[in-house]
Amino acid sequence: MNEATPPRAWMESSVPRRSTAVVEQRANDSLVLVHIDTGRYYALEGTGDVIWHLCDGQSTLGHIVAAVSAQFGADPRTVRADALELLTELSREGLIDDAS
Amino acid sequence: MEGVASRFSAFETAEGTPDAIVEILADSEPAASLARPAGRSRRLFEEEHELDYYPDSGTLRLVDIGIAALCDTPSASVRILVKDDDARAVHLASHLFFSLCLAELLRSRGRYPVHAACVSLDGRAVLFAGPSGAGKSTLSLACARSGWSFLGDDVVLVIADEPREPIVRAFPDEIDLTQESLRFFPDLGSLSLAGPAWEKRHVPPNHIAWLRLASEARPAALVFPERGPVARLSPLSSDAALIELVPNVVRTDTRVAQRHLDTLGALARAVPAFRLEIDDPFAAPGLLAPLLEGRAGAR
Repeated sequence: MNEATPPRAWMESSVPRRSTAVVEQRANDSLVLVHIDTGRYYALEGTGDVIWHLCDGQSTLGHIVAAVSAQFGADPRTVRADALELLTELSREGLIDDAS
Repeated sequence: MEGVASRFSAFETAEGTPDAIVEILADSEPAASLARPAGRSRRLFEEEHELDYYPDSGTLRLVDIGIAALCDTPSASVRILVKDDDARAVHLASHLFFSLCLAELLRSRGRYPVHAACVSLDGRAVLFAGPSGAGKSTLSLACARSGWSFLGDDVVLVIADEPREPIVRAFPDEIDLTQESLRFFPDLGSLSLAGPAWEKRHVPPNHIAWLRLASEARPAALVFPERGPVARLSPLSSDAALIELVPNVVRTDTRVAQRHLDTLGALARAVPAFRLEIDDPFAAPGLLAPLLEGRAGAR
């Protein structure tokens, strides 16, 4: 089993990218992720679900925060703080990396 | 091979070219004789048996004391080497190791194993999903005893090509009998075969006169049983049902794992799920029959 990836510092210009070792599926409200290498699985909902899909290896963190703020009508500072927390957790689990 | 033949005596046989070849051969040093495939590997399981997947060749390698197996998925060929004087290893060859290789071959062909017992009424199926010890076998036998058809007590195969409704295919392997199962079904004691000391007693389903086998059904309810002081059925969200089903995904080929997860998602979306607390398994048929009313798909 691979060790979890150490957390990284995310910046405005970072480009989060979903790992190809992750398979995903939706039942209803939750998106379930399974990491093929570690066997761990996760459920994302709401903004977490949206942010996950924006981790496309092309959008910067700045773009992601702007898109989520617009979609949910939320304060960008709050969205940024939430996104940073989520991205840190996702990278710690080896679910994303930085393509920038 | 006698162990394999006994396990699968309730399966339908088919003529023609086989879909897969399984060799079980005697060998004095199984692990040394079955070389590791080339390339990187992923450890899937190591607590009791070593189970590694080699993605470059699509090969599964299994090792335990006195036994080793290679499952080459692209060529659908399995080779199991076993020390023939080691009773535990010989039992693993016809049971767990055979099962793990067979499941991998089935997954690669779009038949996705789900750890669940399954019974049906007029072609509409209830799946009892959950870990070992949850009471799946006993509940499925209780329903079968009251006239329901039986598709399997531990594993069934699910096929879900959306937008078509999912289908459950039977996997009528030997029924494992716990002491509790035998308490509820004492007549099975005389039919069952005592396995090695570390295994449960088991009986091929076609040896039970009152058990009616079905080969296929439409899933109509997904039930997660647990022991409880009273019989109670509570709805479960499709999200929660999918989370419960995720451990069925085996982390071999990424595309196959995605399709397996897709199938579980389709099942969770299409079929209402419930948590079943139950103490008396014979209460299950009456409690579950209303779940099957009004759902199409009799086959």
